[in-house]
Amino acid sequence: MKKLLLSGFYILVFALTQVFAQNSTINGTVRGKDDGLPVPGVSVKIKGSSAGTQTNTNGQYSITAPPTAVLTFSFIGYLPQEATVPANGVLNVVLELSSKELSEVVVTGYQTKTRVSNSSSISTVAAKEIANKPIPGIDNLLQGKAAGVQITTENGRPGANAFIRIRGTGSVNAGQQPLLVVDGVQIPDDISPQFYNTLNANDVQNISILKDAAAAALYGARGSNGVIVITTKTGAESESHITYSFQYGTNRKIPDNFQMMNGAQKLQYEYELGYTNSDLINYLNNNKFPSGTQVTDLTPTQRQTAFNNLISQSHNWQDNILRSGKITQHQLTISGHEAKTNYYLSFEKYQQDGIVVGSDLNRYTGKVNLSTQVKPWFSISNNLSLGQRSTNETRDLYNAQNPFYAIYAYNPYEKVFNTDGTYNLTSQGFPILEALKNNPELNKYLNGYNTTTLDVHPLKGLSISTQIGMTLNDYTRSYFIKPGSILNQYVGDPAAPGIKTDNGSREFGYDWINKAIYKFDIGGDHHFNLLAVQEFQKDQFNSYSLSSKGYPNPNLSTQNNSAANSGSNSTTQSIYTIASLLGEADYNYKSKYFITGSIRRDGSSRFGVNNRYGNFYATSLGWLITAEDFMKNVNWLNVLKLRASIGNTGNFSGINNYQSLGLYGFGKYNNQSTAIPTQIPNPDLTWEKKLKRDIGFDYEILDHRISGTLEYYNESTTALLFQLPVSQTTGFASVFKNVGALYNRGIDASLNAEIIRNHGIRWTVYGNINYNQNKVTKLYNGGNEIASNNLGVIKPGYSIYTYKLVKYAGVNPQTGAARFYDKNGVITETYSGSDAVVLPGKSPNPKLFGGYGTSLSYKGIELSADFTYSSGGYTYNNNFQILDSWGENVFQNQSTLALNYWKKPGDVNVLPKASQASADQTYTTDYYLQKDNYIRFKSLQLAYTIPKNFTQKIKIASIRVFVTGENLLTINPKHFFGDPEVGIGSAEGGLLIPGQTTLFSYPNTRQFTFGVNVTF
Amino acid sequence: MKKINIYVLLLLLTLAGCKKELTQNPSNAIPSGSAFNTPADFTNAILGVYSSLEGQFYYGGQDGGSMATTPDVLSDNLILNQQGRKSEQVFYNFKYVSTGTWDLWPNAYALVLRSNYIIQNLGHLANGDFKNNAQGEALALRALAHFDLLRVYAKSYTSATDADLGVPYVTSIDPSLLPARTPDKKAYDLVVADLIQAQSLIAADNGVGRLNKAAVEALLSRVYLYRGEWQNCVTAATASINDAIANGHVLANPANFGSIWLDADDPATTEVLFRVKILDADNIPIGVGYEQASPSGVKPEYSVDFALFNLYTATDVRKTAYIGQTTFNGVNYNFVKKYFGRAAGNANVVDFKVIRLGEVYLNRAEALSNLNISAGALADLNTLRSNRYTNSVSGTETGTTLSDAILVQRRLELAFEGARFFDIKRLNQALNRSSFGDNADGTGIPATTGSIPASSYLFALPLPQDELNTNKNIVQNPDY
Repeated sequence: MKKLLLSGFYILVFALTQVFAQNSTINGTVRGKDDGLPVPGVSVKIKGSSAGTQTNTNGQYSITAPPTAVLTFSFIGYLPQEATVPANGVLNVVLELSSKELSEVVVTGYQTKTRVSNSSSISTVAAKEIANKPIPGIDNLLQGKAAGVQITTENGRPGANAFIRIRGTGSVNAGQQPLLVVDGVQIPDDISPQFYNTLNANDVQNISILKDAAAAALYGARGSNGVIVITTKTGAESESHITYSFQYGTNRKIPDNFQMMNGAQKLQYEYELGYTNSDLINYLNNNKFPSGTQVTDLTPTQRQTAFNNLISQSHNWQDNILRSGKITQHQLTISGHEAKTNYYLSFEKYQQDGIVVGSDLNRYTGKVNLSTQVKPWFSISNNLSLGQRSTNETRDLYNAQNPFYAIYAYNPYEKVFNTDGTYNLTSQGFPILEALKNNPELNKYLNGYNTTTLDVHPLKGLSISTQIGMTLNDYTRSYFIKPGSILNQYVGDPAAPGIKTDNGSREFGYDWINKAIYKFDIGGDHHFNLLAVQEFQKDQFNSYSLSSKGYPNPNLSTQNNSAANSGSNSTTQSIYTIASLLGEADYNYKSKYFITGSIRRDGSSRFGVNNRYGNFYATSLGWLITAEDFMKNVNWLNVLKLRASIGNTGNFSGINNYQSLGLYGFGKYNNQSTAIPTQIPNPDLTWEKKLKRDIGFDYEILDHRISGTLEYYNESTTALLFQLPVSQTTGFASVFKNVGALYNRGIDASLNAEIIRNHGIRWTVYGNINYNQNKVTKLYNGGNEIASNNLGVIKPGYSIYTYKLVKYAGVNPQTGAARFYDKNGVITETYSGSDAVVLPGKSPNPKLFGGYGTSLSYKGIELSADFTYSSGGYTYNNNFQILDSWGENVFQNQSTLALNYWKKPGDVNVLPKASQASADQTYTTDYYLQKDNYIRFKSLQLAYTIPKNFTQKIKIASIRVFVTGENLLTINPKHFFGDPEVGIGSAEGGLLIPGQTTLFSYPNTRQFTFGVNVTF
Repeated sequence: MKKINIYVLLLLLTLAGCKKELTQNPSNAIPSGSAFNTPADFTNAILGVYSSLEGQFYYGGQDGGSMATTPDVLSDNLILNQQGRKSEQVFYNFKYVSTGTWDLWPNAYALVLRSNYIIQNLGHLANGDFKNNAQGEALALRALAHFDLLRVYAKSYTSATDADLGVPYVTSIDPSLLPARTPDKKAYDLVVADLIQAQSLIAADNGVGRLNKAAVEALLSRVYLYRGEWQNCVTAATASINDAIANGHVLANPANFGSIWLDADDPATTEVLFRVKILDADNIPIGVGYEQASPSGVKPEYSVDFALFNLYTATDVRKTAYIGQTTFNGVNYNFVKKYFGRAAGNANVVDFKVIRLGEVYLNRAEALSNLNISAGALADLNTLRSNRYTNSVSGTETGTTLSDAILVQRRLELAFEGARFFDIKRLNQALNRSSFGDNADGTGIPATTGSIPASSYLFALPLPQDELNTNKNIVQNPDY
């Protein structure tokens, strides 16, 4: 498509009427040989001129040409074809399938290349793979779509982002996410999550994922985690049309495998442990039992009567707290091309209710892409995209303010409301259903980008352009603890009830790119493509925070209603800049041997004066073996290309803009200014360096029916941007230094197969897999290991975040006491955190992950299914520990597994003797470390396109109706307790390492939607 | 082609402009080297030292280890409340290890660094009162931080041998420092030396929330008491009382004693010699480790031990000032209300009272008693008691009855004020908890760890693992 857009700029229409005097009109239909169906969007040109047209949605075209003219037909995925105009003026054409290698384009962000001319590792995801899904985030939609790209959704919150790791975790303290480039604009790393969520996936034309050095080194200091390049639709690809799309559906919690105790089970458990709950105390008080009566003081009859009373009011809290939320999406798209102008406009409204009250997402996005050829040698384009995402959010921490803890924690016999109609505070002391209404938190993200490009073509093959991209992210958050709310009675000031916090930030950046591309040939065999870029980026961040209290009315929450400040009001500001020069040269001989080299020089304000500039280089080689003469007779092998690359990239994200400076900062004490040392200087601070090596091949066999890629990579990161702990006697905790090293080595493979390909029916399958080995090879001098959330370690010789836990040795069958292995492997009954040992091979990092799927189309019916899987990772399952405690959590509801504790000598395969005494903790041991392998039926879509002969009668080009289902089934072979796809543990608890631990974060959800696309 | 020439020109201009843009400075900080030029810079830096007292595990700590709660949780003053959040349980049960210890360490050394920065830069000030006072405050604060570290992480001075280790006494601002532990007794000597120097330099009055001469002398009397140096203690306490009275500060009487805990005491006459100011806007709820305000009544984290509760007689004004009654989920409790908050303002937000005249009288009484100057000791004890009981009756104790009475009054006076564990420790006593439970009538669940022998390693808390990991010269306390 991009090629068509580019060639469109060369059209010299004004010349045509003079040259061709006796023109006639030629009509025809273009079909594909593979399935015999009409092919829309085929470029039809008159050979020797640049005049041309495209086929419409029914594969038909009409062009005015002289009698002896030769027409050329070309389209992605098919071999180009030429034909002479026949006398009758009707020219039907059947196109033959070409190799993907020759026709597919890859987008590096600086330029577009055909796949064959590119010898680096780039995965592409096509528009249709992510369109019409009831999921708002493009990052989440990439799950399972590309080999080596690990996508783990943070949690099930509407608008949650995903963790993206390309070929493993490549850094410790610096950023681990890839760089995002949208329509050539490099998005600042800290706001790229917002862009994934506010860009409309239906506007996306193509996503290229740059994995190896040869591709990512173009982005130098920002390229080491890989690059995701998103290109949006331009309108060039089809005739003018208007499309309205609608989608409606539901959103529910995925059922989990926690069997919680019912009222009778829980009361029996409490009795066995000697715990008298407060509902029982109230019952005993009301029934004139002496004050202080314990459950163990009652006779069996008294106890049963009391229990029956409580059991009669039992209910399932999940029914009271959870709901089924609605999803609706409306989208209007107008796109096409008129003469020398392409346009694409879209507007979308997306709404998703969360699975509890007080959790939702509302999104508006708008887009205008325009491009036009002003003069034959001069074209301009502008892409503008703006969206606002508003989310109401619930708390994500480990107490009853979090509804997803509350659904498990409240005891079944605890009522929602007291008899007087007020909310029952329960044993948790907090009614979540009240809080969801009275403690609203609204987050709004307004963001977008605009990019304006001026492109001149002074010579054949030479393009010089300047592009100014601007990015904006405006974030506002308002959190209101309403006066009179229960939370306000915990944390508020009784004299000034109600607390309102307004905070937010604005980040504005620009990215000015001046670039020249020169393509030329020497002789017929030597093909060159040269790129030179000069670039400057500047990013300005501002934030504010306001907090006040004393709100007279729960409905009035703006700060001007308050009586007094309740916190420190503040604003902040920070800036970074990057200035860069980049050169890249591609050469190939006879489209058989390929070589590419690039060099980039970056300077950034973030780094120390001694190390502010860095050079990044990469080179790649490609050999299209099937182009060799000796392969001519090997018919089953259509394409075999061997390629290899090496180069270095940098990482500058994830650290503070002024991290290299020695600083004295300011604060306050007793309402007066204070000055305090805040940062140790490091003038040598510089980028993290990653050397990437990649070797692999692309293949297409059996008439292009089976195609794919197999690659081996080896990426080693050195000079890690490390938050180096220092002796705290210095008054500091750490300093950022470039120390330590780690590597990721592995294999990426992908496969696509068209199993059935004929006129009526088409059946394809795809799959991809990544096998990755991660190992930390060096920390700092003298540094042995660094703890990660007291669960894992970063330690040389082990995969990053490998668990370090005390090993559990089961129960002493005689006494019921819990037993552990001490660090020498000797069984002990005394728990000590210092007995924790590193557990080799057990880390949150999966050994294998990927996706597979299939699609089947028959006439107007299309069925597609996508699966994702992960294997070999471990999660420390806090949810399991808390809900399956050793009596420690008797005050809250427990899983029925907790009933199976030691009761008498000889009991084995049981939990330790349960006790409610405060000393008997449920210790953190490897007992709660679980394998989180899974296969997830991620997505199913069934669509039907109503036959054209029917829709055309009502003047509609096409009507497509569809149903989708997301997260339909999860296979959990290792019986992980809860959902085995684990993202963050707890956002507010700071447990943010993907897959490391669970702690009642927002559960993943299942969506069903029905939708329709109508094109006029 | 002309257009291209213009374009090339534009490109070159841009390149020239970029280089300057690569130097960016923060909007909220200045280079360390330019922080000490004017007297105002020094005032800001001194206030910066005080602000470190608000650190999250120090006097501004909440429920994960704090001066307000932890020394009492580690003692016989509190019983874990079964309906609370069970914060600080690791201390209550004496189960602390290096990865889960009281993390006072970084907070206190941050203070030390801030003090040392001032001391290192004093050359930028002209000689005179301002410079002396700046030096005096910095030295006294440095001494206080090291003293607090020693109280937590080292053996008591009176039980230590010369070889026993204290904490590194840091006087440098070098960020690559890897100091070894200063011997315990030597470190205490350095605390005393800094305080004596501060005493000679610091002003008589620096306003509320800052140290002054009387407060430094009061701290000195406390340090001497911890060292068992009775005569020095008497001298320092006497100097403190005299300087305090000269500035208008007097012991609170039964009528106004309660106002101290609501921060409603008159700053001109208050008996609080040094307090860490925590304003409502700072919103650091230092009392939240004792209880939470809740819609269904106060929810205690810890209950007042019933034996201690009974030591407060009905006419003791401290009983109502320190202890509240609540019914939570149908159960009655005695809870600590000392930090419950001001009359108006956020719950649990109050100043931390670091040292008061009441303690200075008790320091002197105990020292005099140990010097066998019973009359003086009894006089100080009676002065205190006459200001704490509505039916003030002068006692007539002598001998061990007198010294026991002094210690009982000390426990009652300084309960929940960050003293009890340290007092048991410095007196080399065993810790013996009562067998009462958490309910208001003493029923309920008692402590599982009832006693700790006087010689136990548990009296010196483990150094944080972070320090052991980063500083090869640091040795952990024995038995951890």
